[in-house]
Amino acid sequence: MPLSPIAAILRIAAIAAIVMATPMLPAHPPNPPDYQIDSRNAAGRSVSNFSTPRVPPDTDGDGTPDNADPDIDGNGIPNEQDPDSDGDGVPNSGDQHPNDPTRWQDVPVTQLAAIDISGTSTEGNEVTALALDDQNNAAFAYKEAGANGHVVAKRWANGQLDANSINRSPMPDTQQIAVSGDEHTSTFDRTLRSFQINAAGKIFGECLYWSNDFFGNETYMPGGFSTVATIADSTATTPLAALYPGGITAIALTTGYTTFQNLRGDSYSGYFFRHLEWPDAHFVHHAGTTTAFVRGNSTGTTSGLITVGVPEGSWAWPFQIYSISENGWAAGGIFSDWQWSSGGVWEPDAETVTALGASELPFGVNNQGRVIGGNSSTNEGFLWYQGTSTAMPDLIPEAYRQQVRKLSPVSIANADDSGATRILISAESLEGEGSGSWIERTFVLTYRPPGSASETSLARLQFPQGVGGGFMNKHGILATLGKPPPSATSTHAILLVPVELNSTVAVNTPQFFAKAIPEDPDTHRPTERDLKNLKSWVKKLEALVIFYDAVYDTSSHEVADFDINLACGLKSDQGLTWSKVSGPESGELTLEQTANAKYSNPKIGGLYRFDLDLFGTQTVGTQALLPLAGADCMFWIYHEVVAMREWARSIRAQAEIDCYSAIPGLTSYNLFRVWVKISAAEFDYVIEPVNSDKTAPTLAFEPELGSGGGIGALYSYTTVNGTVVHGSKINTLLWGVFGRYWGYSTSQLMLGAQANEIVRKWSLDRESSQSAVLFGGHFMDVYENQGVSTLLQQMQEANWNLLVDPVDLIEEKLWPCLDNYDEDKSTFRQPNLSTSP
Amino acid sequence: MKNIDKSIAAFSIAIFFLMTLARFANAQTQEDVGAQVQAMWSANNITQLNTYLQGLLTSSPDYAPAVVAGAFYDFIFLGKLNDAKAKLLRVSGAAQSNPQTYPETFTTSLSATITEVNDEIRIQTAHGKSEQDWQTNANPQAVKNAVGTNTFPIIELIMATPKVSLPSQ
Repeated sequence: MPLSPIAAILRIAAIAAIVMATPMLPAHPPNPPDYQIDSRNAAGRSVSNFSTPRVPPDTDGDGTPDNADPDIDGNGIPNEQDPDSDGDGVPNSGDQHPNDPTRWQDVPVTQLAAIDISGTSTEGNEVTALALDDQNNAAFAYKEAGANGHVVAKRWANGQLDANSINRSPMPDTQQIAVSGDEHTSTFDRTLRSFQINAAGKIFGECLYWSNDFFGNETYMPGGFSTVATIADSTATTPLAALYPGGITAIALTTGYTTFQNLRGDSYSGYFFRHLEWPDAHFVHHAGTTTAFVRGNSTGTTSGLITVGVPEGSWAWPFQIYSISENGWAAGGIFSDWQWSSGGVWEPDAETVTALGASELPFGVNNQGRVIGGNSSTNEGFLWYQGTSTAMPDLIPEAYRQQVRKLSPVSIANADDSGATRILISAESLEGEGSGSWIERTFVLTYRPPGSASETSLARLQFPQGVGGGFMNKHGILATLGKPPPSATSTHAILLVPVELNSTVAVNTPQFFAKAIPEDPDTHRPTERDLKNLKSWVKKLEALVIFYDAVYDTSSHEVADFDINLACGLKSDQGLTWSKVSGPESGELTLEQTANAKYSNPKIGGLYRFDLDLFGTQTVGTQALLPLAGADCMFWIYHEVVAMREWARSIRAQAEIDCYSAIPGLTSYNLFRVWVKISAAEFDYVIEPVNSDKTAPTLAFEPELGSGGGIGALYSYTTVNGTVVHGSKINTLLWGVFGRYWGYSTSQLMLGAQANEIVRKWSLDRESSQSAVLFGGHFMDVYENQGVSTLLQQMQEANWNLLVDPVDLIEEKLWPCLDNYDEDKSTFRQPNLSTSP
Repeated sequence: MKNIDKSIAAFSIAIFFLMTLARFANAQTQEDVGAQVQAMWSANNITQLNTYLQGLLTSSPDYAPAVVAGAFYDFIFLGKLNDAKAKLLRVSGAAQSNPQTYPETFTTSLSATITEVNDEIRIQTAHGKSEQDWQTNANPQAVKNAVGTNTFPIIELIMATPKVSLPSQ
């Protein structure tokens, strides 16, 4: 937590303005009240009712907005020089919003790969119902075009659609879901809802139709049928419509339970259906002041009906039960005197109901009895468990609370094997710098109860275009409706699946992928500032990044063994194939025919690309980046040292001519001024060694040359005899050689460098820079006294690690390039030097 | 300066900064020759400086700062480059014999100055100028005009010279 506790309290206190708004609840609700999370003012602008208003973007109150203020926190230190420019207590190096005092840490983004399970077969048909279970079986349904079109339901498992689909023709066909309404002459349309799939792969569904009622008003009527069927099982049950043609709607379904409501009867009736068997038409009628929510006993027989009690004077309608978990938890509404009384939670097989808090409306319940919902008074989402509700903003990690608001839970998954519960949330995300803007996004809150080994976490989901919302299962797979790009026009059934690379040695593990071809990391070029905050920088890259120093064993001087895990959240191995697409010839891919493959022991830097083939129909591209420095340029340095004698001497000779004065002292003074001018402003080699296939350097870690002042802007990272060295050190080395030919001794040059650093920074010159001068002076002496052969030999034997500067630069992070530079593709340019003051 | 490694090179300015640090490290128990020279040079009192330097070696022939100041006088005021070089070599010899007294920063700068005087001699000779020509052409005012308010390396060297006496000749 970057803030002190007191600062955090003050921050929270400052945001405590909550506008109370209570939406109207229906007095006689045919439908559940809507939970409104998005309040709008008279101007139509969205207003947060429960989350943090942003701190005004003029932190120091000097009248200059932060986005134009050169000293945001008003501490007298300009932003560029201030180690904490926005004064939020988080150093810029670890602050993802260094110029915004209200934010310091972004919510991590998880990309999910989209699998279009309805595919082209439904093009032109709008998928309107989806289901997904914890075994990753999915189902979807749509209605065919035309007034009397069928309703078709299909089950999807491991990339395969069942050969048999459920559709209507003719009734009663036990393989089919039918739509009724034909008997009505009024205008109608059909829709599907309450569509679920259970652990046994059975699909449940019901269909409604729109109709004009007797008063001519368009109303929502239960249409025709509700059925239980299994596509694969030819012994599917009889469509309910065949038994109750008057109209039945299933309002919540689960493995063993479902409840139905016959809205055409004169009384409110409940029916029990259990384990795919339709028992004797159990009918429960509670006339008068009390009624009951009716459901089955999971341990009983078909006749083992129970009646679940509701508070005296209150009652619950089956169609107000919004969610029933697979193991029998139910959540819904309790009514009293035709008024909404409260939300209620029924435990499995219990005969009592637990009322939720005032104004708390449940949306869903999972197998663990955790309930999500919304509070219509506070407009906050909540999570209820064992009698206690916790507001959504209090569940998310504190670092994110300033940039996420209007958290509305959408669905809740069952707890996974670790006890974590995933809750799909719709919320607004503050994005952009400065004043930013609020954008509606989808998040997953992975809730872990107190005492868990891990903490509750939040991630923002990033989908392909046109997809959002839906139902998530315990594996984090999301079933949703959407229009897959680029050309789909109808709504398809989409599974969103995490596809990730992870490794214990990676800096950004896990890394998720969603596209057929991930973005080339080299499309991003860093600034020098980016490279000083590597953890933030790598977030821009669509690649798992493994730095050299994470795997380089300094004692054995070898790259240690390590694994890259290639994981698909679908779990089942069927229909999944990993393959290596490109990358260095190093390492081994194993388990490639499984959901979780492994790439072991790459020893060479570069970009490794792996494709995941999903059921032979689509591909998700992934990549691991072991970022490369520039190609090995030791031989270029060697040639440059040799060439320096002639070049430096010619510069010096011309300078002596241009600087000459017959007045004693003036010539040497002018030469001195030329030396200072050359050293301070002109001696800048362009050194960009590139290998023949242009894979090195990795541009995503090479600052744009000439992009600005300071470290790294002028030079790239290169490899010298197998060691990564920053171009500035090579330049300093060559400056040392040049200085020797100019007439200075090595010690004079080293002192000059040292003194300059003290003057400028009040710190000693880096040892690496001093070593570079020493190398230059030494190489010049060797060349002059012992010749080229000895020079080359000494360069090959030199300890180039002495030129590595782990403080200001990132040489140790980059992988050395094993290739020599390609003369045609590389750029080496001598500086233009003055010969007159 | 665009980069620490190449801006190394502000070299000279910085190197004399170090010498200044060394100067302050020496107890100012004797006349501060460097301060005197610097003051008159900065004030463009060339005539006054000429008079001061003329008498300095007579009064303090073995005082190291005076000897370096004498080299400056020979070099810039009199055009006696070889005499200037000889004086600097005398100090250099003393420094080599007694390295504890002379900081490395000073000896390094001293050697750089000797190199520059040598270069001056070589270049002047290459242009056909004799020792007599050097003396004729000596013009401290012209040098001062060229340097202006910039740092003049040999004056910084005087200021950085340890305030010790050299062995008598």
